[in-house]
Amino acid sequence: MIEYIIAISIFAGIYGFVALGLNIQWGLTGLINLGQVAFFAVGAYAFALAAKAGVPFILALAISACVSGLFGAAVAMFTPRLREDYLAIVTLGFSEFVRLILLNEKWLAGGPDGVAGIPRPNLPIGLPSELAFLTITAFALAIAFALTRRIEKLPFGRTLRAIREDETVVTSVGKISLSYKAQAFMLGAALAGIGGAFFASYLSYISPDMFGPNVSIYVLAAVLIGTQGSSAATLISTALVAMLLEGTRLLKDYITFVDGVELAALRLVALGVALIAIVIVRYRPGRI
Amino acid sequence: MINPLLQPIAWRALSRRSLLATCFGAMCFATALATTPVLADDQSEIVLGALMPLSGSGGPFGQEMLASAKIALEEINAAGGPLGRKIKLIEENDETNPEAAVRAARKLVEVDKVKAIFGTWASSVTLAVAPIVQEKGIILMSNSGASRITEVQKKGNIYRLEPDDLLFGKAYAEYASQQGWKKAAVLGLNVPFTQTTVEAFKQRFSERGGKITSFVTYNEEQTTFITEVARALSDQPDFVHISGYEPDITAVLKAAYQSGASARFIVPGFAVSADLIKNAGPAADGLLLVEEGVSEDSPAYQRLAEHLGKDHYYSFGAQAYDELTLLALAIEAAKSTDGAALNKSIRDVSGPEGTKVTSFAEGIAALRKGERINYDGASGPLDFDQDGNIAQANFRVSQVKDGKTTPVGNISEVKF
Repeated sequence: MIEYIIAISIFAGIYGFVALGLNIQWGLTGLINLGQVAFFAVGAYAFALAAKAGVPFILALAISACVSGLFGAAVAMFTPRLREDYLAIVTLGFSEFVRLILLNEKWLAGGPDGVAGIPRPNLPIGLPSELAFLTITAFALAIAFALTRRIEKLPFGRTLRAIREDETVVTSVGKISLSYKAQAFMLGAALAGIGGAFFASYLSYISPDMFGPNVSIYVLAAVLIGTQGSSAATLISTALVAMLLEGTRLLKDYITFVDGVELAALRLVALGVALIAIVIVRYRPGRI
Repeated sequence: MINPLLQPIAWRALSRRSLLATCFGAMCFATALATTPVLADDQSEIVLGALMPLSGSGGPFGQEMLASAKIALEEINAAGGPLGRKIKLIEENDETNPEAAVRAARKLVEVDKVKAIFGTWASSVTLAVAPIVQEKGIILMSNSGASRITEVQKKGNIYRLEPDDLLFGKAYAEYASQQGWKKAAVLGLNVPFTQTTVEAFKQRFSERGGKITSFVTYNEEQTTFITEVARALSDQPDFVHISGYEPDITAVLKAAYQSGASARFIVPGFAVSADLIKNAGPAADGLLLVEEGVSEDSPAYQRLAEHLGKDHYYSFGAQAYDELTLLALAIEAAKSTDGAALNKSIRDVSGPEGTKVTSFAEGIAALRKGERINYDGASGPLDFDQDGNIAQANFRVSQVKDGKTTPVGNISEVKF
């Protein structure tokens, strides 16, 4: 049991990075990104290819953060005029575009076969491998958390929040909002990329079908449940979403009137209902 | 107060507190679940995990497999079970998604403490679950076909009941030589599995005295296949083998039909669905499909079809039925549920040496007399090579006529 909880915690930690990234983009800056999985995938593949080529763990992690950060900046630079729903559509499209490239360009990363045999970091900690991996993930997540907390407090973070509330005001006081938006997107994408790197390293095997739009939706749910712009709330709600998704798996052994198929569907129904409820309660007119 | 919109608003703090309370509640709930004794610890039952694609693209197959496994489970438990203990089946949905499969497999291994896992269908799922079972030293029985799984199997613990892609290639060649066809043209989609099957096909076909007149590869995104089809048909081959997936095979068939040429096409069964037959219309008439077979005359398959209804062809179901039966027999033969011991005894019960048995009840009777047994199941003779692949497989050939498929022949005992 304890090892299963460790495994789930690792998954929650991995999604924690992605959610922290989305919190910078959407929570702080108000950029709706429905394609966060694209940066997650880019980070995972960048890490996988680098690590398979013999690059040490830390360096491969940095590479994956940089590569997905660049992708994030590029998306922001190409969509300077888009906000809200329009940006949401473009990012959703972008994530499918990334997945289809990974699926069809076999020379790049094996196409549908994916990449197997991705190494895990080996650190001289005298712990079982799963627990050691959790320790590393948690440590990295703590750093990422401290960093995003800092960003929230800095003048930079204040500018991002101001862009979220009214971009025209920000422009009128002489700030170049595109540059800020690109930086926010880049940071968010880089965090998602780090999450992807841990994901690839943990599973030791990745393939394009792992990076479907449902990952974006899980993460979006986590950020929506949390308080807009708060990193702490984002992390807590990520754990909550992971618990909702995995806890139902355990529930099945105690509830006998639904079978596995129905439960898989019900799990998603539960998440959907939770999302709708949150939007109605939390984001109703007059509350923001 | 500088700017109200930059200040934290009171409700946020409030709702954060309620959020924390909710979290705490949820954690209490999870802990309560975690500390409740799980039935898996019950020594009288042997727990095995069925990890199957109950939803996603493999959904229809997964449900067939689960239903079949439950029939095997009933038979095993009715016969008293291995070592006189009943088997308990824990089913998990892999959602035809490698990531969900990893979490489900972890749950099976860590929470339910299953002694073996069977039923992974998508090749990507088998590849993703492989490291977990190998780390834990338990057995995985898979229904995936990709040749690259063989690489992973070399580390042990993984058995595949689905014939490898290589065997598919050889099956086309065996069928052609059965029919006395000597000249073949090959059209292949430019993907890895095509390279493996076409290579295997070429080799076996020339061993049988056949000749490949042309081998043309094409790309998925091509809009027309008229040139490729014309090239393939220019040598008047006895048949054309197309190695690809549904969309491109449909397009090739249409191109051939439009050019007015009549030719015999042989394609993999997994690429042909009812949609293809409908979309290609008259162009699909006469199309031959080769799919993984079952031992239709075997008592095991008869029992399975009896329960599930005779109107359908249960190839993956038959495999799942055999997987559970093999595992149960192996536990009896090993006198243990330990992964390493099971790994040794799988081949002792699957044959090819030993008394031939066709059900768990027959098998356990023979084992208790001290005999070595050879389980011949619903899906085939089930003999494994050194990597854990099916060493010889049966295939079924069927033909499309007026929008319906009818079986026209079998290719039995195709070997590597």
